[in-house]
Amino acid sequence: MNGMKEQRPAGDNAMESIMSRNKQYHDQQSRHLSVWIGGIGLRFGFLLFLASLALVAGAADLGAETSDFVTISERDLSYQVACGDSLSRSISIESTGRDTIVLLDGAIPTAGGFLLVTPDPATSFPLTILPSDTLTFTYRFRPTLPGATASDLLVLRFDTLQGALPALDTIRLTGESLAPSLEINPASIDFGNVTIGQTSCRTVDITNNGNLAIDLSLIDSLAFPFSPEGLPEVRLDPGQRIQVDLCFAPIAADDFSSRLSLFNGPCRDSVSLEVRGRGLAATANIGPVLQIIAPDFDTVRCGTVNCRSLVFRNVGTDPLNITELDDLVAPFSGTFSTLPIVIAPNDERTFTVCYGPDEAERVDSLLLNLVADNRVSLSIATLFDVSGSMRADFGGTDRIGAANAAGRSFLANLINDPGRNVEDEGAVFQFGTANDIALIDGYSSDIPSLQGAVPSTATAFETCLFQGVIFTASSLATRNQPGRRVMVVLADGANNCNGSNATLQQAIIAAQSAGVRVYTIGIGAADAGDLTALATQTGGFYSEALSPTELLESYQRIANSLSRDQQNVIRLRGRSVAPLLSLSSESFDFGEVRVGEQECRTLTLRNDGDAPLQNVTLALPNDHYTVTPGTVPTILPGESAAMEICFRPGTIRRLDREISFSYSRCDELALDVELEGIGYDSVTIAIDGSFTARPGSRIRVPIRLLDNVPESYGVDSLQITLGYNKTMLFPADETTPWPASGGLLDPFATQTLTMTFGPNDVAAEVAFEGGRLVNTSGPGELGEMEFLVLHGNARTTPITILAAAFANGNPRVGVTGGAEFLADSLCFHDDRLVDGSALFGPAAKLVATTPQEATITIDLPNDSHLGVGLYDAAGRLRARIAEGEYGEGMHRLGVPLGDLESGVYLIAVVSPEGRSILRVAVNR
Amino acid sequence: MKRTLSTLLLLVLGATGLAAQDMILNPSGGDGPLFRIGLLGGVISQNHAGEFTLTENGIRCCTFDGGSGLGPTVAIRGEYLPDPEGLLAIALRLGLSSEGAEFRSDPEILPILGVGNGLSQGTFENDLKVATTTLEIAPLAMVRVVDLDLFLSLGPVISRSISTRSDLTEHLVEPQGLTYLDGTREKSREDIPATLVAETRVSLAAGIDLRLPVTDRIDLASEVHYRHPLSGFGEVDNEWVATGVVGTLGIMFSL
Repeated sequence: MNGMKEQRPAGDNAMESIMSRNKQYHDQQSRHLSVWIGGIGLRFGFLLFLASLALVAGAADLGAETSDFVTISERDLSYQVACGDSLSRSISIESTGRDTIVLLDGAIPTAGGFLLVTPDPATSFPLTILPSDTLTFTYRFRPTLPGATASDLLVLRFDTLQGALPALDTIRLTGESLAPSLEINPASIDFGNVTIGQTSCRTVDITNNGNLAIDLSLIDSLAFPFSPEGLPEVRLDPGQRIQVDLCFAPIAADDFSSRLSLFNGPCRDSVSLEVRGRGLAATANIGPVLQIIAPDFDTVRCGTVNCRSLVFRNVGTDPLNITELDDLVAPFSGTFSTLPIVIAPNDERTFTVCYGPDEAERVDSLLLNLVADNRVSLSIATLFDVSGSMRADFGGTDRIGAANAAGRSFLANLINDPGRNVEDEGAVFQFGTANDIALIDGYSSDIPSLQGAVPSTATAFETCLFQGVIFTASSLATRNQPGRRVMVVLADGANNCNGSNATLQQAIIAAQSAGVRVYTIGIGAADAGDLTALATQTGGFYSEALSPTELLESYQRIANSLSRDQQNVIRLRGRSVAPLLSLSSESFDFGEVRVGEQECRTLTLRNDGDAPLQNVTLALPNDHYTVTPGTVPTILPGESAAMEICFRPGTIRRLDREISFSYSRCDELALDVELEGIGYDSVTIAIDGSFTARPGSRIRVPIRLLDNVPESYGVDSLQITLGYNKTMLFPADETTPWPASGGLLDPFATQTLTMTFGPNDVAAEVAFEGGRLVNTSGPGELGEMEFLVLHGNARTTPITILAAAFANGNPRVGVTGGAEFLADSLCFHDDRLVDGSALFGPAAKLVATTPQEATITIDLPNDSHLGVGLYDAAGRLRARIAEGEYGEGMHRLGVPLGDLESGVYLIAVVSPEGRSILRVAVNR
Repeated sequence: MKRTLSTLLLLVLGATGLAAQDMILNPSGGDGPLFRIGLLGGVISQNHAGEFTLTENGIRCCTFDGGSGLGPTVAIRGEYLPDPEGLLAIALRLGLSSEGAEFRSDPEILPILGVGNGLSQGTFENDLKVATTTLEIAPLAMVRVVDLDLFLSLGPVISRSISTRSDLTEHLVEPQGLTYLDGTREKSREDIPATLVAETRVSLAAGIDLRLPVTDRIDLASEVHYRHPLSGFGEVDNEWVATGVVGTLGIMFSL
């Protein structure tokens, strides 16, 4: 109502005025209703009659045009509102007529998020609008879903109080919700183990995938030891991306994690980045320890390349050599430096690895094998020979004693450093006779316990070496993982086992099968050949010790070699994502739309992919069609957007076009929407006037074109058919029935006259070709058809336009008016009218008459429909003689007369060309 | 025309003057002046020439040229002979005649829709029968030809129609098969409201008059006059003229 108050002069309480008028209207309606009900009993019949009349009148008056009495300021209200905000827009309805009208209802949208703000929708309808009044309606759009679109149609119903049906008008409301959509890629960072005092950095991408710019705003900041705490104060426009370096610098041996959260607009949840890392304390001699921080590409848009850092970090105490490393293969790419890659302790080497998927919606993974001197967690089984020969002297002590010392020294090299992910486990085995083969201790990381389990006595009588190896390999097979299983075998003699038939080859196969690397040490009379074969064929090596010192060195050499040539696997993984545009329809048929008017359809674009749909290029036809909005907004996965396609033909004819939506999925794709529509227009031609002439003279009957026909309509042919009494008028010139008259049809070079005769009338169609009808100056004369006036069977005849067609029927042609011709200037005219039907009708003759039957002949000039009836003198049909199609030529028909009383009868022979009347007398 | 009338008037006046002079010169000569009066009856034959047109409400219907007719006529005639044996006499004739004739129009050809719904022509002809009852007055100068009662008469005739009737009959000449709406090929229109004949007409009458005495006071009389038109017969069409021959017989009484 505020809007209405603003339209009223100061001092005029418009609200009260309108409400008063509304009350009057209601009261008036109520009184009318009461009176109607009160009188219904008495006047039911009369009212029923009136109702019937009203129904007929209503059917005849289908409602007035609203443009006749109101002006509506806008018929398209378009909103683009940030999600969570609201926008109000107004329309004004100004009464331009001289009568009071009533806006009944319909001003309240029912869906779509639009709300009528003013006037109050609960109490305002119907509204009485006085002449020159202006009402203002305000509608608000408040979207709550990001990226959504809405549309609604507002229907206004006016009662003109003139008894006609309500007049309808519509207002289209369209709204688009705007919202940012931030994405942080990757969504989490694991900095891994970083030695205290060292710093590790990573790069993250922050992208705005929405359709509204946003200022980066922190909700949660990164906590120490991650940095930086904040982010640059930048504004991200739709589609824009920035990169930020985040670092981790631990100061304590502990696990650290933090979260970075960004405000993502009022309608979306905030986005966050999880970071974590572990600080490692410095350690004593542990050897080279390789820590691989492999990138997780998470999601990468197909067709793009995303690069991340692959970090090789040495968290050990000795230099680390990477001696073998697989090349990257597609869709991963990158180049490593020349091998070997040497990394100093507490140092790291970073390589850029890229992921460029070329297939959509799939997960790619790549296993990179590398070989490096790298101390990894091992399962180590030490296998000691306890055969009696081990009691033999060995450099001042016995062999078993030296083995015990060396073994214990070796087991002291087991590492238990969880911070660096190196946690060895050990076990102690022995072999002698077959029955002596056993696990003495383990698996355990308890080094003293293991050391205490190392055999110190040897009493067995056999050396079941191969069986012992098989037994130990079988045990190791259940531990750790292949490649990280180590067996250290000490023997002082060749395999000599009565209780087992195990062979060297079986021992080798058992070790190989279990992924066990076997190191062998031979002392005394050990078979160097077997031990060498056993070691070299399983990845280890053979050492011969001739003294306790050499034995100790052999074990130490094995301990040192545990870090060498370790195989590692790097798993690279990425998920290819891509938008997938689908359209609700591949074609729209707008049908026929009048030039200057508009027909709209809604096209829904849906993103069925798993990546935001952005940067869609919209190729629009440059004429006749419009698309709103003109650019495709960003559509998130699973969401959709609506676009309105309107057909507003600027000319006539079929105006098919195509819209193309181009976007990038993996490659450039395009979806086309076929737009089909026919622009049409209507023009009106008119014939009017009264013409008087004497038979024998000529008249010209002009036809006027009341509308413009632009050049673009291409009206290169047309037909106009006039109907009139064929006995009164005849085209003056059958080759040029429309002589040049300065009219719009003068440019046409060819006229073709086709006359279709009925019994009394003729349809004279003239087809014009070889020119173009153009009229840009309003109503004008098309031309004149010239007639020779005949002396016929009537004084007057209407001349009507029976049909008219321009070009191929478009523009449509409406006909109005009617002309009349009066034959005049002939004395005693009415008395002298003639009947020539015997001339132009079917040639019928009465050839024979008997009391029972008359025989007639009918000569048809061509195939024709023929009707023959017998009538009495009063014009009553007494018998139908013939009715149907008859061929060209002579036909003989019998007319039964036997049942007729005396009198004169008429035999009417009627064909499309005319009729003949024969008289026959019956005498009884 | 005026000259003709003037000449005729002079002749009549001349004859009358001579007769009067004769009476003055011989006021009582011989038997004295003689007055005769008589009733005559006979026929009048007319021959029409010149085009005239029939119209209806100003619409030209058809054109006629030539026709003839025969009608009855009666007259009362008075004569004054200053000298019954003299040369000159004058007379005044009052007559009632039925004049008229039958005419056939030129063919009227009108376009019609004909065979095969094609353009054709219809030919129409009209027969017109005109009859007018005329009151005439004719002062005549009479000159005795021989010593008989045979006179040459000359004088104007002023005719005034007291009623006229025109009957028109139209015929469809061709094509065969074409009829009027009532199925006939002939239309008669009696006493059409057409003003064809001039209300007053003037002609010059000349002829011979013969008197044969039956008794002293009774004479048989006969007239044979030729009438030459001095004005048109038609009301509108001045070319339409009618010549006539009047022949009557009667009895005259001497007073």
